[in-house]
Amino acid sequence: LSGIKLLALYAQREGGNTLETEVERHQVGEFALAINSFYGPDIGEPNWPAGDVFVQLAASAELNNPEPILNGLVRTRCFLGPVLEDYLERLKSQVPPPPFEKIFTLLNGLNFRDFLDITLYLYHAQRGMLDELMSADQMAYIDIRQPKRYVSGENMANWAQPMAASLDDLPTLVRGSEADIAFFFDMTIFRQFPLWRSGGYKYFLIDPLFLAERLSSHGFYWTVVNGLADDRLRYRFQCLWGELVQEYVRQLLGESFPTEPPSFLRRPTYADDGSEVFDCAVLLGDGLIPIEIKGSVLPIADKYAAKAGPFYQGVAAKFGSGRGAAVEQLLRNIEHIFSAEHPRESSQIPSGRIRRMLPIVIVHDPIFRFGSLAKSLATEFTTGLRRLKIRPPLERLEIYPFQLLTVEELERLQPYVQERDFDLFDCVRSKAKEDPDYRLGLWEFITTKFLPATGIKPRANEKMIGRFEWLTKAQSWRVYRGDYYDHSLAERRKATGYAITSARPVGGDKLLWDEVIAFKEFASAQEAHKACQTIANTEFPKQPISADWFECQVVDELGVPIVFGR
Amino acid sequence: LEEQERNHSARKLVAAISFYDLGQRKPSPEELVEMARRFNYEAGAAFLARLNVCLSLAMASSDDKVVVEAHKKLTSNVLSPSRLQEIESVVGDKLYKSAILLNRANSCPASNCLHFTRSAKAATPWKRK
Repeated sequence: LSGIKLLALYAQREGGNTLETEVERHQVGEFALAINSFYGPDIGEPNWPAGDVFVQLAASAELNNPEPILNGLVRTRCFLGPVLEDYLERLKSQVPPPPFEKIFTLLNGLNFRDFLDITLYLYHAQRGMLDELMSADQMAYIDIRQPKRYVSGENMANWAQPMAASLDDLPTLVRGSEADIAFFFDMTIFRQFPLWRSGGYKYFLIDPLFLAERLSSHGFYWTVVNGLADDRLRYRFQCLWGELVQEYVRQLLGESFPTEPPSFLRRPTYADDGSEVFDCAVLLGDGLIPIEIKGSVLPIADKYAAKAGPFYQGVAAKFGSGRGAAVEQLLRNIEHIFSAEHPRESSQIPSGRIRRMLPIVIVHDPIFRFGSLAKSLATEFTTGLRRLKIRPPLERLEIYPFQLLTVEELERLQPYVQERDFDLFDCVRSKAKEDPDYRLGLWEFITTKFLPATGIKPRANEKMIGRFEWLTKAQSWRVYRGDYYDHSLAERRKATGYAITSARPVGGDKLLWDEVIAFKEFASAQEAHKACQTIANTEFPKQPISADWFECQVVDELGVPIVFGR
Repeated sequence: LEEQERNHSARKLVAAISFYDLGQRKPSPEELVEMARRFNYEAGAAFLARLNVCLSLAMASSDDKVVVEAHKKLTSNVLSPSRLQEIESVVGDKLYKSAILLNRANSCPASNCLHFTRSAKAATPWKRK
């Protein structure tokens, strides 16, 4: 991608190496060697500062370890569904946020679920094409003038347009130049435009992983932000997304810790003015886990600066000791609660009983998947802690080393906490002993060191898997039955007479309401009706989801109910 | 899916092979620009985009064998036999596994930057044209 940026800036528009011969193609390898050389010093030059290389590794790790679609999609759908709903309910009489989905639909012709459905469908369709594209030296594109069976040209155009740029646009979109090291690390232009438009009707996908990113809560956020024309609206959406990140994390934690006695404090407040102590907290006996949740993102200029200075300044401002940043908030409120002179009271936090404290910050920005970045925040926390005037040393209060988790890591940690596989305090104590320099993030330590050492078997988040399987089946059914197809355009295919049993969960998990799946196909409606009657005795559903019951129906291939009778 | 989730492993990092590894001087920014100038924009961008699509799809497979195979095939297509041999002799069996020539976005430090952290893990609707 760095090579494409260089070509956009400097390559010849007419003539030049057109890569038609082997010898011409071999120049690409030389070009790659040259570009790679810009990621390190020259022979005889001193090593680049370790701090700079470290933040370059963070950018690399973010790019080369994309979030699995499972976590990303389920989380995005949670944000847009039950989490948003709960958030709006809690607002009560306060001013609600603008109706972003309506605005998005008006601007782009697709609602949020449509956009995600088509993204997933087209991503999966291309995912199976690797061998073909490799062997035939070909690119794949969608042609909105010649739509295929499941998505109409209009829907394809609506879907592609917000993520597409033409080759002619690229030179003006490229930021900076090869003179600045950030040029080789900032791939935002391709994240923003993973599709290339050609002739106004062809769209080439140039990075399937950046497309898949659009399904995640990070990528989807950018889809909406980039799709809103008004700066004020963009800001309001950024604020809303931050709130949704917080609500989602609270829900995850609320489901994870024991309810008897209640240990999860959803939003502890001060007794004097009702303001928030921490975003949330967990109370386990004499142990307190104060938690700050940050949904904000590091500015791109800092994140991909490839220099330690601007990178860490950005981290400090948003997540460290900057006013209102995560570490600053933690420290300020720890001091208020445990103040030596004038402690503030919170009815939910029995500060006099607390003997152990494990401060945690949970972040949404994917750059923090490079777990070692926790060190800089931990240093800021430890430095700040020394300045606090907290209660007299006679009253023992052991403060455990600060920890950082991403939302994805919390999703992975959830089943272990739910099953009480280990005590978080014990785990962090082990980490402090084995990894005092934060070479590993907390989650990396748990998976690579702690679990093997303690003999705890790896667990998957089965609830997320169940939700993901159900959601993707429902998405497949919507695509298959023609929700995105323009039936007036062409003959669909020959009628088969098949009947399909469909199922919809009722009650239980709010995320899956209105998510109808096609369960099984039968040669006749009679057989399908019989199957519906016996479905309760089968292994349905196969994935662990929560529902009070299922509504089953026999439908045709377009999803139209078939009433069986003679 | 459950198995995959349970075994979700640690982060991966790979090193980009550069002229440094071949004991050769790093080009200056001007020389890099000069190299870019030799290409035809449309043909060059399309060619690099295709490489990127293949690397991206290989990564999406989460299968190390698929990734290695993709690198092997794409790399041999863009290097002269003599250059490929030279790289093979320098990088050895790390080639395509923890040291690669073609990277999706190359936002990965060259191998001369990685020596300080050796513990880093070595890291259809679509038509064809």
